[in-house]
Amino acid sequence: MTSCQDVGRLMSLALDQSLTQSEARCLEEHLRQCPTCQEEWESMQRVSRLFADAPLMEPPPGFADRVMRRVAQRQARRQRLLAGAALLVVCLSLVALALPETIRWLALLWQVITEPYLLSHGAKMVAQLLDLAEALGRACWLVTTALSSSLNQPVLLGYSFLVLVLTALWIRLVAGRRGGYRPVVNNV
Amino acid sequence: MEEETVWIQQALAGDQEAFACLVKAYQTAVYNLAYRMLGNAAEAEDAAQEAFLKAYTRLNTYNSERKFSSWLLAIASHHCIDRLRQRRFALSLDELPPWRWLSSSRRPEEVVIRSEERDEVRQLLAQLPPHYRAAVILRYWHDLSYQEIAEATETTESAVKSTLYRARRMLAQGTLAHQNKQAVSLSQRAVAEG
Repeated sequence: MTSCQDVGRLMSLALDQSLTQSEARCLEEHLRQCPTCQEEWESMQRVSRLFADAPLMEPPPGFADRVMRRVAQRQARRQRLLAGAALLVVCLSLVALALPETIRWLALLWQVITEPYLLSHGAKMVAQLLDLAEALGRACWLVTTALSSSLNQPVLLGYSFLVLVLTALWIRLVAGRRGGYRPVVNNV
Repeated sequence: MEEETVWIQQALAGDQEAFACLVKAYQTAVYNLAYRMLGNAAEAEDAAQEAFLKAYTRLNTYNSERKFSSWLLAIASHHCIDRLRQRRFALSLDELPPWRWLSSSRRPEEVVIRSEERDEVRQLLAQLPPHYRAAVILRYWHDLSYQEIAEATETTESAVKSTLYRARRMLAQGTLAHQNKQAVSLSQRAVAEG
């Protein structure tokens, strides 16, 4: 005689139409003799019918559109992350490339700054440079006053006007070229 | 079926329109699974959307020898099982077995509403542990074979048979216990009145 537990397994297989003929006979025989299993079998069949008759639940309207919106958002976020990661890699590579050269220059600069002569005579050198700048300024002033005194006023004015016109023409030419640039678009 | 293969290949190449075709083709299956697993419409919609998003990001792992629907339902059922585990400690009314609902004397009008067939299905499913529930839903509503359920739930065919047997027994015994309780209360009432 088959045990009640084994019969329970057979009941489940019977609900899926997966019983062999001998198993089906075995189940039938047991159910005739065991009221407890018979009661359980009826209950199982009832639940099974209830589930089999229950329809597939339809998603609410616009469900697919909402899914695709989220897909697009996730895709955009992913692309932004990828772009950020790429930028970071480029920056790190540049830093890695420039680092040895920067260190070399910094070391050189440090060497110059910490030079004992420069440290002791730094102030003197700055004073000499200022003297030089003053002398150059005086020379420029002398040249200008000499020009204005030797040439006629109209000649000087004309010369200044010519310089201004040439400068304006040059600016217009450069600015015009920049403003006139348009990317090529193929309107197919 | 060939159309589906083309959609999958196009979606793999980054074509979102092709993936939209897959979503439209399987939205009812995935939503129904999520609804039956979770027991409410709002959570089901969110879970079904998440399942499609996971499918989109993992599409490159799909093996074309498998049925696409089984692969997709596997993703959805895993996602729903995870959600159920997350809310395991927060006991909701959905988790209560039907006989407790019916024996409740607090809101009789709700008892009548809940006795409708659809709610009975929902409450019966709510009695089952998450992975039992997934196996039962895949069997009854999605007509998956033992082999396909085994693939979807990452178990063996014999484990699926055993799971289905235990789930059905649990449901049958729960229903019987409820019926017996009802019969006892009816007889007690009859004795009290008579």
